[in-house]
Amino acid sequence: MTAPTDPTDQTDQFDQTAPDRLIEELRATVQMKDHLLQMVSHEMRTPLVSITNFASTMLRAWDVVPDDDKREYMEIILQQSTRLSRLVNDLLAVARLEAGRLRTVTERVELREVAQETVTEIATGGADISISVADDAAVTADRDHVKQILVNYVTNALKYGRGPIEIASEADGDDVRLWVEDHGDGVSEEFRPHLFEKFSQQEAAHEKVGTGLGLSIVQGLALAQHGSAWYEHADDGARFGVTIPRG
Amino acid sequence: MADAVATPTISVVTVDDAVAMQKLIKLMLELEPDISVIAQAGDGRAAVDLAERHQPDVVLLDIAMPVMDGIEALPLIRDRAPGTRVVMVTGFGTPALREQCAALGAADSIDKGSIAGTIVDAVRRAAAA
Repeated sequence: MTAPTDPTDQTDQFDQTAPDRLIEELRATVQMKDHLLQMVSHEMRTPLVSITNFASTMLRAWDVVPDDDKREYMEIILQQSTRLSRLVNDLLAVARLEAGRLRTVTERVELREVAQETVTEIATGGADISISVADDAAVTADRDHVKQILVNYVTNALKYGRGPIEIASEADGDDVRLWVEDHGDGVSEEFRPHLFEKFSQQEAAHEKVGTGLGLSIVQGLALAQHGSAWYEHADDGARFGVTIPRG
Repeated sequence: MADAVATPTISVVTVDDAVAMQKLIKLMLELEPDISVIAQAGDGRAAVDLAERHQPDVVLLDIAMPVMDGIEALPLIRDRAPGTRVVMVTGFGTPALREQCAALGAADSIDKGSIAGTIVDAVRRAAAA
């Protein structure tokens, strides 16, 4: 009695392409990890350079730096600390979303109030941001998550879009559509399918800045509210929004 | 009465798209009696224009910037301001990047991470070259 020699019999029981696919997936995971480490290092380093060097230089030259300048430099230290803090929060949010451990506290959320808080917190230097959210516009959701969505969208509009910027909402059946609109160039058609992916950043004339996590966090938070994140392109700008159940 | 001897001043143009970094570099340099920041730019194209207009002793040039980055601006600055020495200021300076900058005519490269300890010496060295 001889062992089967026809290789076709063995092939039917084993997917020959599985190891290659697994290798490719592992390679993609390693690349993503390397990208994440590089991105985090760069994004953390930039504000840390400002903070440590302003602080050490001011200490060295405290007696010769004018008081007005000292105040300005302290404000920069505070601003860069806030930037660093946001980065850490983004990374934690991504980690929790990935692990399915996002804590959600559901309550009635007054959208106009959240929009106003967002503008107060984010808008500096006379940024032109208006709010067209009805007084009674509300959803059942986690308030901090809704605010984080608006913070991320408004931050992006300020960074990559063009004013005037508007936060607006409208009822849509059992849901509420909430969005941030700007009058910039919007997102290219090729990039739109990747908009809410992790580390996605549209190529621009200059090197990409930021983590590329903001919109993936928005999508994760929107899903956590049983809603969805979306993008709408217009000739004169773009709308980045979420649809959340009224509850 | 002997005339006071004026300390020769090294004229510097600084280029960085981050406003905080611009203010920091200006603060560090202007604490030195022999260095004067005469102009600042936020992108490579403005840097080339300022270098041509002012013919400074040294340009401190960031790399990653909008409109025109430092790598593209470097040879243009060298062409329009032949007497100006350019010191590149990098966020993450790899040996390959430093070599590329040197080949394009940069006098030196310094890293933003250790900027406090290196920027003043780098400016003086470049001016003396």
